[in-house]
Amino acid sequence: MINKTLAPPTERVIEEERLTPARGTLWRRLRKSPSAMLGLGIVLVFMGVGLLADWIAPYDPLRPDFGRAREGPSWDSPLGRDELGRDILSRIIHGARISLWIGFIAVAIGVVLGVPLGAISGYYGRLDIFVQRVVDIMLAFPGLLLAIVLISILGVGLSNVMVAVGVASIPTYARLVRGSVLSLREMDYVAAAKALGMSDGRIIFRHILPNCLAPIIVQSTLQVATAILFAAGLGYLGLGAKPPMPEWGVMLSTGRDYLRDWPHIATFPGLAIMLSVLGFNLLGDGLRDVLDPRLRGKL
Amino acid sequence: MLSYIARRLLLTIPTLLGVTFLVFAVVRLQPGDPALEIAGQGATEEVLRAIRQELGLDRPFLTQYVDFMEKLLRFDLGKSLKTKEPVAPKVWGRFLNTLELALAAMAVAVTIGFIAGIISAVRPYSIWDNISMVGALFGVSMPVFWQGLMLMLIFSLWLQQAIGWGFPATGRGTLLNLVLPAITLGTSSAAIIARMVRSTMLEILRQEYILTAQAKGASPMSVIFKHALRNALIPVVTVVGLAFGGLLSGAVLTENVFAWPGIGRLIVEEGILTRDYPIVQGAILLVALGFVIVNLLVDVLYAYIDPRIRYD
Amino acid sequence: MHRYFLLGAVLVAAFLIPVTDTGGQQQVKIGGKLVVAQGTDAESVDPINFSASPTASIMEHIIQTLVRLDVEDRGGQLETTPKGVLAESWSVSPDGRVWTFNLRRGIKFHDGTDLDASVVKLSLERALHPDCAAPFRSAVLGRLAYSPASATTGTVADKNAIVWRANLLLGPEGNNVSVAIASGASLGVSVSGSAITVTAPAGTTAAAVIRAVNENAAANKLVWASNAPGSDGSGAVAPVTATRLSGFATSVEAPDANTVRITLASPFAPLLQHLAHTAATIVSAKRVREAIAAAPPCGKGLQDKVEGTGPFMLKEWRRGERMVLVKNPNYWERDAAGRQLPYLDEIEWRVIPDDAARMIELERGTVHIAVRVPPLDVPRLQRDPNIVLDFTTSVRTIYIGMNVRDRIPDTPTGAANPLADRRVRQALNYCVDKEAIVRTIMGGQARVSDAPIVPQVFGYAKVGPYPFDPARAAALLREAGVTLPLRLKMHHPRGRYVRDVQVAQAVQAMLGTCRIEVELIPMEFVSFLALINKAPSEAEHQLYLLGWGTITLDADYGLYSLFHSSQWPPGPFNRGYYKNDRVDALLQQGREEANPDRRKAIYAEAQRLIWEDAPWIFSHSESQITGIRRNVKGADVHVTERLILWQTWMD
Repeated sequence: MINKTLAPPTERVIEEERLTPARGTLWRRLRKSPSAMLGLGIVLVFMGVGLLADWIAPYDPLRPDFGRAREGPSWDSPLGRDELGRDILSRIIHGARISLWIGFIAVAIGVVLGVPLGAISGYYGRLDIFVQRVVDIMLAFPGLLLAIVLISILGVGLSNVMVAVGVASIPTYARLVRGSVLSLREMDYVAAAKALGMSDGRIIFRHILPNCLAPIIVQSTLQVATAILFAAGLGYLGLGAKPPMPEWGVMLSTGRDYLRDWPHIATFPGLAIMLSVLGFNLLGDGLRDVLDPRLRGKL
Repeated sequence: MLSYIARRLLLTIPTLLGVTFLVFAVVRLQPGDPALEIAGQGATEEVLRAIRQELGLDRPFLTQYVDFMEKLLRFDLGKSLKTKEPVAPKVWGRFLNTLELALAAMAVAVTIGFIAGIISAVRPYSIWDNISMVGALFGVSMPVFWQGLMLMLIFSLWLQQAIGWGFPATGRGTLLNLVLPAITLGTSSAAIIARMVRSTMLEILRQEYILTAQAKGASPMSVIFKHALRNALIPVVTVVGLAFGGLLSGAVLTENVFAWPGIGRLIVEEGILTRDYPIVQGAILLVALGFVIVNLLVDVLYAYIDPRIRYD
Repeated sequence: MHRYFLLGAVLVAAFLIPVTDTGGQQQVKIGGKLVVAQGTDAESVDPINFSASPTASIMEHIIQTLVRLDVEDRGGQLETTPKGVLAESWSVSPDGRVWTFNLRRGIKFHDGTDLDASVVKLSLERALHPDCAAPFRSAVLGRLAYSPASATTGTVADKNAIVWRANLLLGPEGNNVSVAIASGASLGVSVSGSAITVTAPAGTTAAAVIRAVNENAAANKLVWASNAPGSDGSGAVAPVTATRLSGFATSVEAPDANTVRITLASPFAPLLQHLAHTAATIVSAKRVREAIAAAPPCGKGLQDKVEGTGPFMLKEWRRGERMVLVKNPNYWERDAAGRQLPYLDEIEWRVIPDDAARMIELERGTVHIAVRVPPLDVPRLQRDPNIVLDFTTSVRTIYIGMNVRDRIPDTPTGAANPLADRRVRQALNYCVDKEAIVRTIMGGQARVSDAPIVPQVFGYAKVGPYPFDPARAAALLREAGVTLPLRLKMHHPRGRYVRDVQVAQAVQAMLGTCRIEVELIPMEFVSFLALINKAPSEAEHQLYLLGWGTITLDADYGLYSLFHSSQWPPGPFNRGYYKNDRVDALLQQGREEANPDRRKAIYAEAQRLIWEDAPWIFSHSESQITGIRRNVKGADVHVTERLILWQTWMD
């Protein structure tokens, strides 16, 4: 994370005090946590599946076979067939790409725009007033409602879902980071850095934001899940990804109509969502434990 | 403290102005022609033009906004395009219903979230920690519309078939009607709160003053509740405040599943799906205002819990 | 959710299990409270302010029409007969233009006032008034109004007069068009035939007249002449367009207290079918008159309360939640055994938008009747001993319309349209396996279309179906010289019709096997309607999935609006811009012909021609499935997607 040899001596003192782990130790520590490794494993598997979808999916995910509609699991189709007779396994494999994509883009939008906004707002008392007004205005619209309204303007479609869900999460990040920064900037080491004449940008990015990472990571792991769930909720309301796209949320909400009599149609996409969410959370928890210096050595 | 609150209130004014403008602009950006929606499929261009004129839709954007604000100050949110009745009382009634559901869900979320979070933090990596965190994972990863249906099946239909009594499945009325939707809606917030309580408490429990307190022989209970919890509240209050927004979001879906006559359903059913923009506008505005007030309370709470903040 | 527009929805009772046995000898139990669950709430209880069938279903228990359509099964063939409700009897003049209705005597509204012809006239005229913009005004009641033309062209006759050639249909009392101009201006108005002449005093110019008319139009809402290019008063003037003439006249008269007379401009055979629509219900005049006086011409505040003559009275309405109706103790109608109707004390209509939740409430028994059972829930519910399912075939036809213009959009620069070729359109029909759609997606609860309308509609003739024949489709495409793959766009609504998204996906997949690659564009219904409601020169749509319910149960309503070339958008419903001169002539003939047998022949010929031209992919007609608890007897599902519960009782 931080290249110690290049850091000026004064700064190194401060870093020693914060006990930030060096790059090499991150992986070592992560490896010691079985749950984090499990999470990482799940995330990697899903990413691999998503990337290789075209090669590993046994069937065309969009091709219906009306004669086999709603057929249960079999050797031929391990997860069964959906309401149009499409192979559910193939759809889940292709859906991995879509769902992870939704999660990543949405979180990226939220982090890239929300975190700096929150940091600036928390750090500069003067700017806080203005930035907080902007954040307050955005925050005044609860996430899914904001997404619904955005979708109704942008139109139904996957990329619009990503944008809507991402934009909806900006204020969450901004608010969260601001809250942490507000307390952190009162910390002695920040005061010390200021006294040493360090620039604000440096203080924010080197000394304050790394200490906000724990909540940002916790939030992001949940946010990937939230993004996938928002997409699903939008699908339930008829505002999500376009059919016949094998988006997990839409598959789940469609399958829900058949839940009572053909539970496999909804169950497998549901499990896929849960498993991916689980993976992100485990990984995020593990990273948090490793990254947070105050928990170091306690593992 | 009072001056802080006064300042905070003052700051709410530009926010509110921004919110009204955003709502107004966003609603006008929607595709579709409200005049066509009023007049129905068979309307002639002449009728459409007359309707646009009557509603002022043919006037400049800013003129419409000024007009809108003028009316808003008199609590006039306009009339529904479809039913032509005033929007304000309708939206208000539905908002109260949603608030009822959201508060019940919040109670569920805070209770479960704090209990699970504290247990986890006090005994990290224990079986209890694992159970509550895995529970939290399930809580956040279950889509509301799916979970609601499962709860309804189990506690309403199957319970009824098994013992002759089950929770009411849909509608609003008695307190019992509130149980299933409040749990459905509160679960994901509970999970988020639990995780946040856990991670914050874990950090704090490792702080020196806690170690000192422990070394001095303070009882575990007193350490947790007197020393740790209060400091853990700052980020948690943020999350609870934000969770309220999550609750209002989830309310759209929950209300639909449980046929709860709230504002979320109003927005989707009578607003967006039928392009009745005064309803969308009024409802979103009210939700936004409610949320602004919640955020204000959160900020005040901050200042109360962490006195450093109010001296800025 | 929001799926129930009556415009699209009508169903005919075809019971598998006879649950509607309310014969006079049968024992009935009086009293009790029935709970009904629908997916959407009523929009309002004002008949000028509703568009969806769940609203109509409730309203018809409170307010009533002059006639209603009874559906009877005559040896497998369903026939509809108009039966008098508020009208005891009626007669038609030999030329088919003058209809006279004799009202039932001694009927009181819920507020204690008496029913008389003036009340009927008031209700109908309110529904007809253009300013009230009732959703069904033109489609259902249009024939009753002498409506001003949509845009009329005026010419300046001399320096101070303008003549509008308005194709006003003259009413029996002459035309009551007037132009009221604010005080000070003294414009004369005279109406002669179809011409309206506005005269200004000597000395003023035509331009001044136009200006005066325009300025005062806003205030008086009478005449609004919009553009007058070059009207400088010199006399040589470009045509003046009056965009809004609201000289409003209806054909409804009340010659005495118990007689209502309707005089039509031309014969219109299915008039009774139109008067049976909920849009033509009669409401107590007491509050309506006050409301109109306060806010002419439509009145305000009539959304939440209504007083009618029906078997139930509105007691409580909590929006989005429930509406409670209580028995009208003074209801005029009796059953076959002479018992006072209705049997029930109370009906509670609950709103449960989620399909699964609605079924759970039905299975729990907390709801007695649940509408719109999802087709694939049928096998499970049929196993439930406490539930009886009511199957009702539908007159709602689902089709994929095709834009048949030569170019899209239809301008010289528009793209060439392969669908302009009839062979291509037929190929699409051969390529879609309608049987598979009905079997898998609709769970068998639908019917493959074999005509543009369904058998329950008067005038239906079986002319299809197009068999599933990909080889034939390929041959036709080859013959038409189409380059494959052919790429087309298909717009479709989601959640509007039963399993509409799945139907669209299935059609897409099936056409794919014929190397016709379809891009699906799902849309929210209202935007979708706006998209396809365009003049051909602006239209972008190629394929569009839509439904149409012939709610009057007469072929005129099911064919004229959809296939007559005068019915191109914007406004009307011929959204593929289909035009066939022979079909046009037949459809015009059909609405003026009084003899039922001749009408049937006319419509059979029209349907045959339409079928060959294939302006649609003819898909299927929906079914309505209603779940009813076994202890509920005598619940009837009417053809127009309405529940009829005044002869219902509970064991």
